Amino acid sequence: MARVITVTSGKGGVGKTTTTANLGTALAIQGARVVVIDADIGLRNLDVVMGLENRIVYDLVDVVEGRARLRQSLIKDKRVPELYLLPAAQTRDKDAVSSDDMIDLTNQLRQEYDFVLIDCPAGIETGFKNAIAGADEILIVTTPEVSAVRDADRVVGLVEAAEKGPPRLIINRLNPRLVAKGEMLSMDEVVEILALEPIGVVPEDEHIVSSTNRGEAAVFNQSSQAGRAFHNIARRLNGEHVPLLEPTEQNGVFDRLFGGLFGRRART
Amino acid sequence: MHNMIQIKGARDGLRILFDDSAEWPDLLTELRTQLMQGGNFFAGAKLTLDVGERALSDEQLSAVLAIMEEHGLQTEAVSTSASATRRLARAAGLTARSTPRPATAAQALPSLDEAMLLVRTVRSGQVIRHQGHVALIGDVNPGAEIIAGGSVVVWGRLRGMVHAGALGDSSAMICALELRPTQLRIAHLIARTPEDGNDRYTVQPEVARVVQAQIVVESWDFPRH
Amino acid sequence: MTSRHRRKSRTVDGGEDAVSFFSDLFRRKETSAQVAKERLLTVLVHDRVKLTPEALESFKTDLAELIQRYFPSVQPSEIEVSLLREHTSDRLKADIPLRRALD
Repeated sequence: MARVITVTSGKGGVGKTTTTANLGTALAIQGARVVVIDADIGLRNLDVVMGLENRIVYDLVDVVEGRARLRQSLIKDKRVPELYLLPAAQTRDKDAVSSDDMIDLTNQLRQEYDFVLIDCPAGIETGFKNAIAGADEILIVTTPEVSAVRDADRVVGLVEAAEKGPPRLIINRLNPRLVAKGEMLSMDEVVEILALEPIGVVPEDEHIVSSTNRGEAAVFNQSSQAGRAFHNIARRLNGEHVPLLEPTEQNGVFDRLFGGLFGRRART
Repeated sequence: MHNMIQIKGARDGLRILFDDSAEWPDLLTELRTQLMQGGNFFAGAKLTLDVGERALSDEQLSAVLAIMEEHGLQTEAVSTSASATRRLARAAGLTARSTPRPATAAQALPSLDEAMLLVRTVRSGQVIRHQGHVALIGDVNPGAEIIAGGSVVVWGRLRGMVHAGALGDSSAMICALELRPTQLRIAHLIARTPEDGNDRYTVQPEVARVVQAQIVVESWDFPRH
Repeated sequence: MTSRHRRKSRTVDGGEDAVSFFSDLFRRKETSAQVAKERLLTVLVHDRVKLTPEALESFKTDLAELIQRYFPSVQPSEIEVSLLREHTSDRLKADIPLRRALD
């Protein structure tokens, strides 16, 4: 039975789609059967981030409106077996899908997969409500900036109101150099402000830009710090105990240690 | 026989016109065939059923709506000059219109030969849908779609998705000054650009068409017969 | 005259330099991260209890009136009302210094 996890943030541009793509890929590399769903109807992006845009034949709205079967619409990843994308429709709007549709959809997928990750649209309107409707767990992505943290807090309230249980926090694009200078909120500070359990912190990393340009997940890149952070989050999602450290400019050493361990395991 | 059911692109969606003189069972059969052939063409469009002067019974209306639903299509409105049918349509939760058809319309709609000329950029999220040929002066951006019953000519860069012959015509063609689509479809065939095919340096006009049940892309200079 | 003036202004400059030098050493300037944290803590409590700063002000005025009815010695200006964000709950805290009644 799959766990259905929605990745949300409130504010746009904090890295929801990148997070969904990388976590989905990392979980699949680690051996899970994964479906990632783009719930951003009308503004689809997960397909380009994963480099699957030219393989789309049917999308989520086709499935919901009965023009295609779910299995037909799942796009197989180029590199990782057992990783599938259900793309959003680009030429429709959010009203094409209801919360009940999303619940039906996720229930169908539960049978055959280990993880269903849903990339939530920005905002707190219909699209957000649909994206969390079928979820068992919620991951909230924020960056260490006042606007993103404030919106994350708003979303926490809505998630609690929807009785989804306490969401877990991913702090994205943390810059250890700025934190050291006192010019950026640290992981601990963000955690303290939001009073949420953190499941990962992803350092700011130029590799993300180049990976996205190529339509490849950063988790494939052994030298990407962000890629390693996403691998660690995937392992924590799987229940493994992986220590969570505030990234510093020095403790790249720790990351490398875990990255190395992981690298060997992945190849077996 | 082909003209029993006609499909007309309107500003607000698609209009499916029923011939006034055809036998009802024949109409239903023809409707089924048309929807089967052109599933993709209708997908997501706002649909109006134009039943002309025919007065439909409750059963007849339900039968048509059921066929539409079987194909995953949502009927939005019913257009008819019969007021009893309009009442039934409203009761079924549809918009009812009494737009009369011009007397000559039935003869004046050679559906596939009608071409549409557009001068614009088609952007992500926009769909151009037309039952005949489409000629576009401008670009088709990634995320944009052109769905045509006939052929599609793009005098510009084609980077989005084009479906030609969407009602089942595999002789339809797609041409563009720069043909770099995310995907091309002709009739029921689908082709995507090769993953590593981004390093073509020469930009040249190209044509895509169906050859032996495959979509092939050729340069415009290719010797044609 | 001009040279004296110049010399004087130089000592003034030097004095300012000295002050900023000391302030950097002993009174640590608040970093932007600290400022961000304080601002967030305030704004989040307001967001969560849906209380505007104006409403909080008018609450303070009303509260001062009520308190004065029972404790005439309390100075309204000394009453402090604040919203606090704590780990498990948010708290409205009023700090009202009382004066001992004189015999």
